[in-house]
Amino acid sequence: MKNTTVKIYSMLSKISIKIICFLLIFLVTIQVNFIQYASAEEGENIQTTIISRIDEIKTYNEYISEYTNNEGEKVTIIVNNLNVTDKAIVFSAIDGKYNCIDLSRDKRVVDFEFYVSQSGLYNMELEYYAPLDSTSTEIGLDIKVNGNYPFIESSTLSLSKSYKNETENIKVDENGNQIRPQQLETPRWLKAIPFDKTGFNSNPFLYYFQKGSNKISLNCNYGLIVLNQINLSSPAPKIEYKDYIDNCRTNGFTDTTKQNIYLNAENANYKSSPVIYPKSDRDDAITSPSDPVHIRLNTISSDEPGQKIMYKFQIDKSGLYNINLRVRQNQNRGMTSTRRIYIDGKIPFEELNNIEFRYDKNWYIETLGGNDPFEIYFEQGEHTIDFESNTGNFASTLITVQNAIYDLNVILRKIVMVTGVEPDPFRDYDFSVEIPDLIEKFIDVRNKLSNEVTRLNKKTDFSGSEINTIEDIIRQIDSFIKEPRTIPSRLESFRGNISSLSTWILKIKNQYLEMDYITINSKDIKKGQQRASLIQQLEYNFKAFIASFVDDYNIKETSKDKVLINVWLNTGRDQSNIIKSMLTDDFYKKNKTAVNLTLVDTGTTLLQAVLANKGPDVAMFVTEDIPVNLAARNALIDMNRFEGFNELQERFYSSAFTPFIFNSKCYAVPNSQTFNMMFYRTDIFEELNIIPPKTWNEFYNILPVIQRNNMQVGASGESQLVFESLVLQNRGEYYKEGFSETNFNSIEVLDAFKMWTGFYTKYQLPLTYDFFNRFRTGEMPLAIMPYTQYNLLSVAAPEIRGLWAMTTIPGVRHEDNQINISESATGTGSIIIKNSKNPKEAFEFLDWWSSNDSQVRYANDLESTMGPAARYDAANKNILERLRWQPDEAKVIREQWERVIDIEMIPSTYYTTRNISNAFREVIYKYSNEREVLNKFNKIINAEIKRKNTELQKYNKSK
Amino acid sequence: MEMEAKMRVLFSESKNKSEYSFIRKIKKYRASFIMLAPFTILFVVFTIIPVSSAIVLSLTNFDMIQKPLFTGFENYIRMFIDDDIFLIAIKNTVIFAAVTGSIGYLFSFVFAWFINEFGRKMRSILTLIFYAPSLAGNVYFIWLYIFSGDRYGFFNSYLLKFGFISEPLQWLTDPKYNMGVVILVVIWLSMGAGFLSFIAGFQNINKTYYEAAAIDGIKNRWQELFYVTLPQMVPQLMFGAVMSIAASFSVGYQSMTLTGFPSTNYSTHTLLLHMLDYGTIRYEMGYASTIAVFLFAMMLISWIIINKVLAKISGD
Repeated sequence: MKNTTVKIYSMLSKISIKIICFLLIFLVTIQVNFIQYASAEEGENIQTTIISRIDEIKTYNEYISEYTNNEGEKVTIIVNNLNVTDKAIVFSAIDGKYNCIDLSRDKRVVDFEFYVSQSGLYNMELEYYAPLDSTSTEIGLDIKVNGNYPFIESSTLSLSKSYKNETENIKVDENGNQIRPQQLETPRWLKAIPFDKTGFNSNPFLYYFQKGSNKISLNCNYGLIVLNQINLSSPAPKIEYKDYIDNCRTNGFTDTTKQNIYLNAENANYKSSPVIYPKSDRDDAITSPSDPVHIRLNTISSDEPGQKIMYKFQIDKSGLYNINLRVRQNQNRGMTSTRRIYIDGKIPFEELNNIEFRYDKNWYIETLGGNDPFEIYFEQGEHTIDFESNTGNFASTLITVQNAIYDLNVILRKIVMVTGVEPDPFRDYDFSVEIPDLIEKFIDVRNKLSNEVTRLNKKTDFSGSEINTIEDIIRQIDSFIKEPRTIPSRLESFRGNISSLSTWILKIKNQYLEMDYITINSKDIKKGQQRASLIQQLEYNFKAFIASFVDDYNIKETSKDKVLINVWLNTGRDQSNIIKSMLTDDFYKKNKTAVNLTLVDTGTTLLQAVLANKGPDVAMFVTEDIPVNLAARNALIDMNRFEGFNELQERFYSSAFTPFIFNSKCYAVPNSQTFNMMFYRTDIFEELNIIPPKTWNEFYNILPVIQRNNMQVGASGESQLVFESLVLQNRGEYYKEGFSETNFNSIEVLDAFKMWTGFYTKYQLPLTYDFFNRFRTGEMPLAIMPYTQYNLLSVAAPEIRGLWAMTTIPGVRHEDNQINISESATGTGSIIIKNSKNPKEAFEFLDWWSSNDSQVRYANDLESTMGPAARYDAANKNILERLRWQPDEAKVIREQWERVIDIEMIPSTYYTTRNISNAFREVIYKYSNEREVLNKFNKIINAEIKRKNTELQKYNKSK
Repeated sequence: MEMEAKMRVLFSESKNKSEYSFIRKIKKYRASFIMLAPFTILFVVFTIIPVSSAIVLSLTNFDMIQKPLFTGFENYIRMFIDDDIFLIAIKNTVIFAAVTGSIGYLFSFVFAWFINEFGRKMRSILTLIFYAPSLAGNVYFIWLYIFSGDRYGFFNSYLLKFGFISEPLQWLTDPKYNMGVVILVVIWLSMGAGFLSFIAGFQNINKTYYEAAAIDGIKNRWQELFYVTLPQMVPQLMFGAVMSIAASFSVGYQSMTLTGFPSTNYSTHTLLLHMLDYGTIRYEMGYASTIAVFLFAMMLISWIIINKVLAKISGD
C-alpha cells in the first residue's frame, strides 16, 4: 500500500515542488470555479499529504551516509542501447557513434534496465553529446533509480556543454584593441558525472544499486542531449600523492630537464560555459600578453561550481613535471577558491581533487603541491588538463548556512506574524507564550552556525571579513536568546543580517579564480615573476596615461564604397559590441551597407541633434513616448511605406506596435517589451493554505489572510501599468475614437480606477517597497512585478530556489465566466529619422535586426556576456522559446504575453499619465471620492489634448 | 579704472558727434578696443545672443523640430491669463525665494560670523563642513532615502518606532509635506559661494578699524558688527545676495530629484520646472522661452531692489 502511494506521488513530484504547486493550483481552482469558498478544507488535505511526501526524499548527505561501508569490489557496467526498455526509442548515428539515444524535444525520457552483480555504490558517468542548441548553456537532467529519486539532488542535475572561442587567435579591431571573442558551441562527445550546480555537494554523486535487476530513468528537463552510454563503476580506491609518486619512481620515471610548456590561460581549448571568456587585466604590467595602450585580453576566470576550463598541450619528453599557475583570487577575503584538476580526464591522485588557492589582492604564482611540489608523470604526446570550479571543503558550510537561513527566515516570519512588520517597541510581546519553541530554535541555529565558524577558522589562515558575516548573526542570536524582549526593536537589523547571510552564500559559492598562464615545467626551470616591479608598473601606467589622450574609443566603420548609416544606441558598451560583432558576422555579408554605431542617450540629445540636422539615420532602444511625439512633428519616416514591413510585422504581437502608431501609421520597430507577472512564494502559500489568485476577487480573498499574518502584498505601487491593465481587463479604453478625448468618464475606467486606488485605501498595500529583499525574506509573499525580475530572483536569491513561482496576473471575471487577464506593457523601439539620406538602407538594417535569428543571437550573446540577470526582454514574439527560459517559465510568459494589449500613445500622453498620477494621489492621501477626482482630472486632460491638437494643426495649416 | 574712464569719454562723445568721427575714434583708441574684444565677444556670444534669441523665440510657437511660427504676444497672453500652473509656479518660486533665499542668506552670514571667531585650523575644518553639501553637487539625493515613503525609510521608520505615526507617510509625493522637505533640503544646500565670500570678507577687514572703533566707544560685539563689520563687507554682501537670488530663483532640480517631475499636483513646481516641462516634455520651446524671459525679468527686478537696499547699508 505504502509502496504504491510512494510511486504515485514521486511521479507527481517529477521535477520539483514547483510543478506540484501548479497541479495544486489547477486542482484547487477547478474547485473554486464550482464552489467559491468551500474548497479550503479539501485543498488543505491534498497539500499536507503531498508536502509530507516530498519531505521523505532524502538529501544526498543522508542518502550517502547509509551506504558508507557498502563499497563493493570494483565493478564496471556499461549501460547502452541494449538496455533500453522502451521499444519506441529510435537509435541514431551521431558524430561517429552508432546507436545513440537522441533525447530531442519530443522524447525526453529514457529507461534503462540492467543487471548488477554486486550491490554497492556506483559512479554514474554519462557519455553524451550536446547538439547545437542556443536555448540553454547547459543540460538539465533528473535521474530516477527504480522509479524514485534516490535523493533530492538527483532531480536537479546538470551537465555542461562545450564552448570555445570563435577564432583561434583573438581578433583585433581597427584601433588595435582585441575584441572579446564570441563563445561558440562545439558539440563533441563528452564524458561526465552529472553534477549539482548549487555547489552544496562538491563530490560526484554516487548511486546505490542492489544486486540484481535495476532500472535507471533519465529525464532531460532542458537543453538537448544525445546519449551513447552510461558507465557505472565502483568508486576507485583513493590514491594519495605519496603512493602516486612512489609508484612513479618504482616504474623508473625520472625528472625531466629544461622542459617548459607555457599555456596562456585565455587561449583555453574548451570551456564548459559561454560566460568563461578572455578578459582584460590592466592592474599588473606583466600579465601576459601586456600592452599599455591597447586592450589585450590576457586572463580568464571562472567561478560557478561545475565550470570547467580545458587545455591541450604537447609533451616532447616523457618524465615528471611540476605545474605552476599564475593566478589571482581577489574576491573572497580570507577564503580559498577550490579547483579540481583533471589530467587526461582523470584525477591521478587525491590531492588534485581539492587544490585551494588563497586570497591575495595581487597576482601570485601557485605551484601545485606548494613547498613540496607535485611531480606528475606525462608521457610524450598530447595531453589535456582541466580545471573545474568546485566548492570543495566549503560545500558542507554552504549547506549549513543555507539551512540556517531557511530556519531563520521561518523564525523571522513567525515573529513578524506576532509583532507585525513594524513592531511596537513599547509593547511586550510574550514570545514564550506566542512562539513557545522560539528560544529552542534560536539555540539550535546558533549552535550549527558556530560549529561551522570554528571549523572555518581552523582551516583558513586568518579570520577574514567573510566569516564576520556569520559571526555577526551569531552574536545577535546570542543576545536574542539572553533577552528575548529586545527582539521586536531589533527586528530590522535581524532582517538585514539574514539577507547579508544570503549574499554571503552567493559569494562563497562562487569559487572565483582568475588565471594568467599555466606552465608545465621541469624541476630545474625557475619560477616566473610573480608581479610587476615598481619600475615596470610605473612605465606601464605612464604609457597608458599618455595613450589615453589619443586613443579613440568609438567603434567606427570605415568603408568608403558602401552606403553609410548612422545608428544611435541607447544602451551600454557591451550591447554595442555585440551588435557590432553581429554586423560583421552576418549583416555585412548580406548587405552593402556600412553601419556606424554610436552610444548616445537618446532622450533630449536626439531631439537637439534632429533640430541641428546632425541626427542619426536610426535611433535604437528609444522609449515609448518618443516615436509618436517626433512623428507628430514630422521628424520621422513611417514604416508602412517600406516594402517588407508587413512581413516584419508578423514577428511581433500587434500590441508591440500599439504605442508607435500615429494617424494610423507606424513609426517604429519594436525592440523590447516588458509586462507584469505575478510572483508568489510557494512555501508561504502552503503554510497559509492559500492558492495564487486567478481573479481579483480571489486576490481580495487571500489579501486578509496574508495581512493577518503581518505580511505584505505588493501591487507595483504607483506604476500605472496596473491601472492600465485594470482598464483593459474591464474592457475599457483609454481614449475615444479619434484620440481627441479620453474615455475616463466611462464606467469601465471608473471601476478600474476604484479598484486601483482601493488597493491602497481599503487594503493598505504599501505604496513603495523593495520587492527583491522583501520577497526573499518572505515578508512579501505575493507581488505583481515586471517579468524581468524573474532573472534577478533566480540569480541573486539562491536561498529561495524552488520556493517561489511566477504566473499570470489576476484577471477580471466577466459574465460569460471568462477571466480576462489582459495587460498593458512598456517597451522600446527603433525609429528612422526624416532627415536620413538612406531610409531604405536604414529599414533594411532594422529588418535584419528585428529578424528572429538576429534577436536570438543578440539575446544569447547578451546573456553570455552579462550573465542571466541581463536576459533580454525581446519584443519579437517568435524567439521566447529559443531564449534560455525553462519550458514551463516560457509557457506562463507566453500565456500572459498573448493577452498583452497595451495603451495607445498620443502627443499629449504626458498629460494623461501625469494627471492620473495626480488623481491617484489625491484619492490616496485625501480619501476623496474617486468619481469626482477622476472627473476633475479628466477635464484637465481633455483640455490639454484639445490644446495640443490645435497647436499641432497650426503647423499643418502653415504648410 | 582708467580704461573705464576712457570708454565713458568715448561713448558720451560719440553720441554727440557724427558716425564718421565714431570710426575715427575707434581708429584712435584701437588698442583699447582690441583689449576689450575678448570679453565683449564672449559676452555677446554667451549672454546677449542667448538672451535675445530667447526673447525672439518667446514670440513664436516653436516645437524644436520644425521652423518657429511667429505668434506675436500669444504666449505672453496665455502665460498671464490662461495658465493655472504658471500661477502655482510663481507662488512656489516666490516662496522659495523668500524663505530659502533669505534664510539661506542669513544663515550663511551668521555661520560665517561664528566661524570667523575660531582659530585658523578650526575655521578651515568648519568651513569645509558647512560648504561640503554644495561642494558635493548632487549629493542631495541622500534625502531621498531619509524621506523615503517606504516604512523602512529613515524618517518614517523612526516616527513609526516611537509611535508618532502608524502608517508610513509619503514625504515626497504627498502635497502636504513635500514643499517643506524641499525647503529644508535647499536651505541645507545654501551654504554656497556666498558663504565662502563672507568668510573671506570677515578676514579681509583691517584689524585697525576695530581698534579705532573700540577707542571711539564701541561697547559690544553687536555694535561692532553693525558699525564696523557690515559696512566693510558690502561687496561680499552684494555678491552673496546675487548668488542667493540666482540660486533661489533657479530652485527646481532639487525638487525634481526629490519630489518627482512634475510633482503631485505641481505642489513643488517652480518657474524653472515649468520652463523645463514645456521645453523638454511638451515640445513647446516658444512658450518655455516666454517663461524664461519672465524669470529673467523677475531676477533683474529683485537684483535692483537688493542693490538699493545694500547701497543704504553701505551709506553711499
